[in-house]
Amino acid sequence: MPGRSATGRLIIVIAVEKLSKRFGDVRAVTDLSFTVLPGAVTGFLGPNGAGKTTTLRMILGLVTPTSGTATVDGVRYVDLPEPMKSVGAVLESTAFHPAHTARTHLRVLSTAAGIPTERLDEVLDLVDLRYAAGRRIGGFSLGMRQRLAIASALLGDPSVLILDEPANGLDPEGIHWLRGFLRALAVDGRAVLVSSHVLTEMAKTVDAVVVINHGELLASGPVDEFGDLEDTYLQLVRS
Amino acid sequence: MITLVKAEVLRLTRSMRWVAVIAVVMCAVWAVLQVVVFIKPETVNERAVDSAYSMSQQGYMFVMILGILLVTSEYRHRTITWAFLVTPRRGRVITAKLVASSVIGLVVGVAAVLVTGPLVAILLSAYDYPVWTANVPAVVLGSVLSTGLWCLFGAGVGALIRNMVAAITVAFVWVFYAEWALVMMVPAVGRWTPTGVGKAASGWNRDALGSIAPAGDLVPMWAGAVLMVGYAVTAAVAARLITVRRDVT
Repeated sequence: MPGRSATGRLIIVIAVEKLSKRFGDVRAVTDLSFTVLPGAVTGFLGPNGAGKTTTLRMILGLVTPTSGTATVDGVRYVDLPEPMKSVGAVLESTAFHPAHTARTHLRVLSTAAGIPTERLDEVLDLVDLRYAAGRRIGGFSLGMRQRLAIASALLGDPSVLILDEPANGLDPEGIHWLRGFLRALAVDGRAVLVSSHVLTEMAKTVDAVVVINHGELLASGPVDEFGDLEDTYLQLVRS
Repeated sequence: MITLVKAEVLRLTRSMRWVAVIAVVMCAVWAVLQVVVFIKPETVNERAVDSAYSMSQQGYMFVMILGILLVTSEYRHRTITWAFLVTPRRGRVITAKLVASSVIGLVVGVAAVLVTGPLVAILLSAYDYPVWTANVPAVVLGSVLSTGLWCLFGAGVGALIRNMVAAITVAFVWVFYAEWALVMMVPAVGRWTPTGVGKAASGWNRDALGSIAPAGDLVPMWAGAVLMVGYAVTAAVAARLITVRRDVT
């Protein structure tokens, strides 16, 4: 049973509580609360500019909340002793030094995080990128960058994966691969939180959804409670 | 902290080697010019020989840029996101960058000495000038030390001014114009400015800033080194309080 311990107690991996963020006069996120359970893929849905990226970055300690808290396994991200071994994050496909090779990028991260170098080939194999390990990232396609970002996130073998629009720039085959990949991670018992504004791709992937718009929660729960996800979603964001 | 420093050194050596190479080449070019053009048989003396060896610190502007790049390239390529994800305690990230920049600066300093020193010795002997003076060890050690310190100083500036172009521009304008003008107007501050203390730390103190501040005005070598570290740490602490804490979006 996903999300429950052996004793049947509900395990909450990511807890967002009354989270708010203002950028000057702009209320990016307002009083947002939701939870993410292990062993499931949770879709984080909302139109462009709904506050998804800001929320994910607050969970990851990159953006400081104006108020409220976001915790992973009960502690704030900045208080995690070894964050790479708890949480893997895929944020934007462009964030690499173009002169570095894929292997150098992974070595810099694994060195800083104290992860043995044997892990490099493992994660490169996981995302089918070993053939390009020695190439400069500057020459990578968007899809290859996305795979490298996922490989980076998996370096510490984390129990939580957070992905911001991972399907952006992927071709249909890549999206198909990603869907299977995320499902496999969840079956492994990991908590996977994945944001997207492309509904058709999400409906087939997720077990649970959190829908936000204008920085506020519209609905959350198991995906089968939503009936036709696209219809329900459109009703929610239009109302 | 050691693993973080290792990661920083790895990151830099795999992408910005060319700046270090330019710094070393600059030193070699200056050394050749010094011996071939500026030293004349009728004026050659111990100070002239020292000055030739002191050219191994002439790459300091490029080493400072190297220090700036060490920090600002992370913002420019947005890889700072990865750095803060791996190490969310941002002060540790900045500290590791300062330590790594010092180490890299010292390595560049050693490389400059290894290239420039033999070159100078060969040229001096070719011209039948004296090849050695009692000051040479101090000049050589000082140029390694000051090169490391300039790299550290650059990293401090880069942490405070996260934009690569802005940081390099500000550093250049300061060293070549603002500091100069300041010392012109108030000569007494020359010994306390970054260039003044950098010169002091280099052990080669024929002149402080051009001919404006006489050599006797420079602080002792150890004090120059301490003050240079002080400038870098002050910039880094200011960076931690002002720019480093900002949201990474």
